[in-house]
Amino acid sequence: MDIQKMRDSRVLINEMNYSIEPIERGYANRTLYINIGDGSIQEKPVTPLMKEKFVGGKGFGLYYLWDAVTPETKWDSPENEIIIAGGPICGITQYPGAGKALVCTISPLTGIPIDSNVGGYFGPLLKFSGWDALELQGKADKDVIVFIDGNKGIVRIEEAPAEAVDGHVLGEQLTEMYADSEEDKRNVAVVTAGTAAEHTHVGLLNFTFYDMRRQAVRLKQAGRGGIGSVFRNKRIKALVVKYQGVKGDLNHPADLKPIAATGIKYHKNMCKLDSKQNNMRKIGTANIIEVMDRYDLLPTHNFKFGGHPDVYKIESKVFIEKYVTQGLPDGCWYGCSMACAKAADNFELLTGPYKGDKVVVDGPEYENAAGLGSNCGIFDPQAILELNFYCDTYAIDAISFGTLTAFIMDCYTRGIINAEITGGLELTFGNSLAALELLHQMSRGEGFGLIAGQGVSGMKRIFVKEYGADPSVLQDIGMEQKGLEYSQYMPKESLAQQGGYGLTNKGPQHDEAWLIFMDMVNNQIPTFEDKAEALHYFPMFRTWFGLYGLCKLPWNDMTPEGNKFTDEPAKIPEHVDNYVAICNGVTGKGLDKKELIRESERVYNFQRLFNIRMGKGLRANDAVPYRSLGPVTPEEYLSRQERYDQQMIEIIGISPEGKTVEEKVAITRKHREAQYEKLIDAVYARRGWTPGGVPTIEHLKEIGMDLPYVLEVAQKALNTAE
Amino acid sequence: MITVNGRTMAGLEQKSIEEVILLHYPYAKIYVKYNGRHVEPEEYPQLILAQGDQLQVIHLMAGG
Ligand code: SF4
Repeated sequence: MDIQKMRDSRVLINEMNYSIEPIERGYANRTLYINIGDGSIQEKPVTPLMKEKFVGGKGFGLYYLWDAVTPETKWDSPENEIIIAGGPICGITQYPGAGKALVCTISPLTGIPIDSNVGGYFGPLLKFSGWDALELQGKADKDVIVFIDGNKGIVRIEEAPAEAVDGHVLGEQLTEMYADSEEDKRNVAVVTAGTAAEHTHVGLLNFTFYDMRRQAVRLKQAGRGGIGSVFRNKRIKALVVKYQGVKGDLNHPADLKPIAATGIKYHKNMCKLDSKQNNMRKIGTANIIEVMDRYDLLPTHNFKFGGHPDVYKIESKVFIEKYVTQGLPDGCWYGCSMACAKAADNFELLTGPYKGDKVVVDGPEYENAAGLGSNCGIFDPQAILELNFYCDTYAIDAISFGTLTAFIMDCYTRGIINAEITGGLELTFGNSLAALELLHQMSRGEGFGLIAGQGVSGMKRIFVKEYGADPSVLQDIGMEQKGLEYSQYMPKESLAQQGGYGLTNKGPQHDEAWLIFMDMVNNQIPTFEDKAEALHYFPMFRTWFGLYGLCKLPWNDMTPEGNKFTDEPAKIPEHVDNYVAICNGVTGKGLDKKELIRESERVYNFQRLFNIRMGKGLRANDAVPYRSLGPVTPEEYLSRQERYDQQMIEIIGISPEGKTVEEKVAITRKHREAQYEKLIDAVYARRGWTPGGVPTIEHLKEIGMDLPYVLEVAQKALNTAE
Repeated sequence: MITVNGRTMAGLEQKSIEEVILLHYPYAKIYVKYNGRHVEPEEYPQLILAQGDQLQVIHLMAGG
């Protein structure tokens, strides 16, 4: 790595000096606007209205994005923005999971705002450098890097032709370039995309942190919705922030004591309980691979089935014993005792441009193991880790890649596409080498990789137009909604989770609501009203993490002793109280837990109306592919025949006796589709929306999202619906 | 019949709670109520299910 050569090839486009000001109660009170197209750099004040209505994080992202775009704006329009914002709690070190940044943009997959929550050090260091948010607009004609020096107060935009593009190489290069010493590397955080983001709509952003123990750059992903594709379309190669001097009180909280006290209590519980509960410190979210399989929830073969006899080959034990390094405190921000950011070290790559290299693989997370593994019929841990690595460094969202590859494999197996169309790739379930080659094609921008890189929604259009595929079949088996690929949980047997995916703002990502166990297994929300209540409370509660710069996992991946004796164990009340205490400790707001939900409601409804403004966000857009509701094919029905037959008798009230499988598939479908519609009615009513899915003016006023331009969009949609 | 989480389940008579959990509910973060009473894991092997018993096996998993 010739750092000097890279430095020499840099061309300064613009530089701004700024004053260093202390953070007050979690806010830097200003944001940084950069136009990559004309090179302008500007400081903007954070107004009281922004804090009151939008809080921070994703709220600030959506607020700026609304201003920046029009209903005609596309993902690759110059005015589209990428906004990165932490939030007022972001950066505290006393409580786990407090280093997250939220990234918003208009997605190339959905055409509406996407938000993605990401670890690594960039979010907190950006704030400590003096900025509550970074707004990037415009498009450059040459590759540029933005550098923020938070100690000296400098923002610089430079042409950067010589650096690599792939995330793991570029992250190392820039950390090396900007750090003064090995010790100083922890003070540098980099945001990159990767080569495949240039050729696809499923590009992600890598956020680095320097792992002092491994002496390696680690990558965390803002994965969903193609934000990396927007990044490279703007010709941004990387963002770098450098800030030296992180310590526990940099947010200048209103009262540090409650923050420290809740943190100490949590850390003690974590040490005591994790090994008896989720093993997050050993294997992170991948602890549930075999659990999902046992409960028939692990998507397998493009969501046809919920489990597979070969899952034992990729269960968490295999990764713990053979691949993932144990005993390291893998937190993606200081103070995270949950430490779930696991990695496989010295992993030797067997394919692609880095073949033979021994690398650090960040993962596997559950989503990667399920999406790149079982959903594609791949039960080989080595292949899963290799796919995981290349998805990250090439900047491909592993969730989307898993779901879109599974869709391709399903289409290939059904003869909808063939080897002629795929350029010779035998994309059948289980063919890991073909899946890897597809990924390499995305990086090189060639062959069938270019088509696959359009996502499931894009492929559906192409397969119908170019290859004469039946659109209704593709609609049934293509696991996307609003243009976004489903994440990796099987929702067929949980009506609440069908809504948890279908009734989201950004598309079917489980970070709004994950209700499968509450619904399907525990049977705690049996009525439509119960489900609607859950589909109100949990999305609002979870939205709140994104407003403040928090990770959700410490909320629910460890449960305190005594939780089962509380009124509402599913909410984990002790942890909710912790968040109220931390929020008040940092900001001095004096909120209670109801007001916490109200804060989210404002932003949530704002995002719904943003979708409506962009031409989506109505009831028709909340329709889902039938495979997320029930068995599409006789094969799927027969695989769980006993269950479906029994449901037909007990729930639908029809005897399956003497009926063909096709007839039974049709009866089940009619019933399940009707159930989903009833669920929509109940959820919309609970959320204060009309049956068409539009937030009512009364509701918007009641929750305090009553900005005139927001009410105008709502009124227009309401008028149209009448 | 024995009810588990509000649904009748066949074939559980004479089984201990421990057996039922091993057989059907492998997730670690669960709590159990037996006829409305919280029971601790130490009790699972001794409690043998009989006709009319009601069991709640509540999983505390809320996803990533
Ligand atoms: S729980 Fe895991 S993902 Fe969340 S902040 Fe901690 S290490 Fe990062």
